Amino acid sequence: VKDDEVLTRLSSLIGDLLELDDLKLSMTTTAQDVPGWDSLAHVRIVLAAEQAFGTRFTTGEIASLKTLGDLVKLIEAHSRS
Amino acid sequence: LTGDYNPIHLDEIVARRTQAGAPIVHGIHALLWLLDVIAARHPEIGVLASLNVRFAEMIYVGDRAEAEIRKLTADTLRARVCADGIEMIGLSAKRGAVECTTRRLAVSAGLISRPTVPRELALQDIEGQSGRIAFAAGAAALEREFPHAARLLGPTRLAAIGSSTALVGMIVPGLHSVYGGLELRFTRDPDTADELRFRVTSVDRRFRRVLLAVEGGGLEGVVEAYCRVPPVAQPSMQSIAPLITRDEFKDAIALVVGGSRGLGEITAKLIAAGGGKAILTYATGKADAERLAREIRDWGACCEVMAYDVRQDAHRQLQHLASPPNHLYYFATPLIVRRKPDIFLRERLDEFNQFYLDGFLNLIDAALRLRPQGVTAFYPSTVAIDDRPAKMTEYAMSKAAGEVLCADIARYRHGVRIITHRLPRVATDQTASLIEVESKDAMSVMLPIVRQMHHSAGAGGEPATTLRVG
Repeated sequence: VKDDEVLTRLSSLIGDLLELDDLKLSMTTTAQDVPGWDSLAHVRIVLAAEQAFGTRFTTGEIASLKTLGDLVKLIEAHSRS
Repeated sequence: LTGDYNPIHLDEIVARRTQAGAPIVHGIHALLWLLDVIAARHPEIGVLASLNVRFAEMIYVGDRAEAEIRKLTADTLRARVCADGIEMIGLSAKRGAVECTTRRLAVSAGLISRPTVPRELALQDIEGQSGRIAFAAGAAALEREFPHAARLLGPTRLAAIGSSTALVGMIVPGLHSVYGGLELRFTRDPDTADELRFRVTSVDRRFRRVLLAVEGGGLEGVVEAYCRVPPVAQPSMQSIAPLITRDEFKDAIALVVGGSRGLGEITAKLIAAGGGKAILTYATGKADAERLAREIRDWGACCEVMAYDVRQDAHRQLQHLASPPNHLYYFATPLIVRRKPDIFLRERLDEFNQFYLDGFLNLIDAALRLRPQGVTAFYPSTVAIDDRPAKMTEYAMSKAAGEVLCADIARYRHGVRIITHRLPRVATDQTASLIEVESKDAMSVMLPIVRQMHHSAGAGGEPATTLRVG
């Protein structure tokens, strides 16, 4: 899976979850940049990403996520393993 | 009305030791109010087939909440409750005929009838829980309070929705719970049992997230809840004592401001274990402070407890102390992380400054009046000045100003030594979160500081103020 493909799918998924239309996200986007991306929304986003990409992250991997790019890279790494 | 007596809603002292930090409104109460407002404004709205609700942020008692209908089409309703312009509750519903029939969950037979004390379940004990919970109040009582919502959904469904907060707050997860949301489908078969049946279907330990299948009163669906981290327990006197020489701090008479929990608690224990005298102060946590003092005294060490409010006259509060303190530890703080609608709130900064600047200076001056030969003080600053986590602008600003104040106190108040450290994130009630975040334990952070305070007080030639970053 390519970075930009993952980013596009994640952007759509996050927009749906947070009910935000035309959400523009990049690899450097953080939760603080997006309205409504609070701690509970973060849990839902990670769970939805796991379901969409058919994987499961560890607690350590989740705790290390700082930017949307980190999540994209993590998904990509899981897809290779 | 709903039977949810969880102390996070009702008890200021218990709530301060949770992630909320203060009593919060029942999310379900705010939801029922939102439904009532929607139905009152749009009597033509007709029937709802399903309801999805997300409790995004906690609503505090005293907040001004606003209901907002964001979208109303032939088949969709979207609405929310906001406070300070921030979404607290998000609601989406499908309009249309109710078509589902109840599936009948397999649950354990016992009926749980109006519990008054929340169950305290550990995360590992939650899997497999199931049962039936009686409605705390009948449909008629809910209908009286929310007449428009009752017309929209039917009074029995309101009673079932209301009971879901008793399920979360009193039964599963119980005492240490947060209600996350619910996804409901309304059912058309008659269900007159006045009970909500439930079964835990998923426990995700990574997020402490619990999903419960629910049904009864004309609805079925899923309730999402979270299991809060219980209040952070600091090490006992027995476990601390071996790390310290018995007389290591014997000359210390330490006033520990904000000493009833967290960093203050561990500081008091370290000093007492080293033969010093700890004077704990509390603002609201009297029971916590007295419990801690009992533990220290039972172990055989010296400890006093007193009420102290950093926003009041310091000298008047301290003048009757039997022994003037020579060491001051200043952990007084308001709630640190709270929601806010913008980057910077002047009143939030003012509140922090009252604690971190005025309160500290007043304490220093009062302590000097009692002990003119001098005092040594510890001022906890924060790595947030460098790391700048979200929503903590005013906190970081105020602590940075506190560092400047400390330096100038040491310059202009003869006899005052101040040690300031930018402390890392430490595992305390104020930093507890659902997702595991790296935190230092309070013991490993405070022991070197207490030792530094002791050595600094005894060393005449050291600089009057020291600041350690990181």
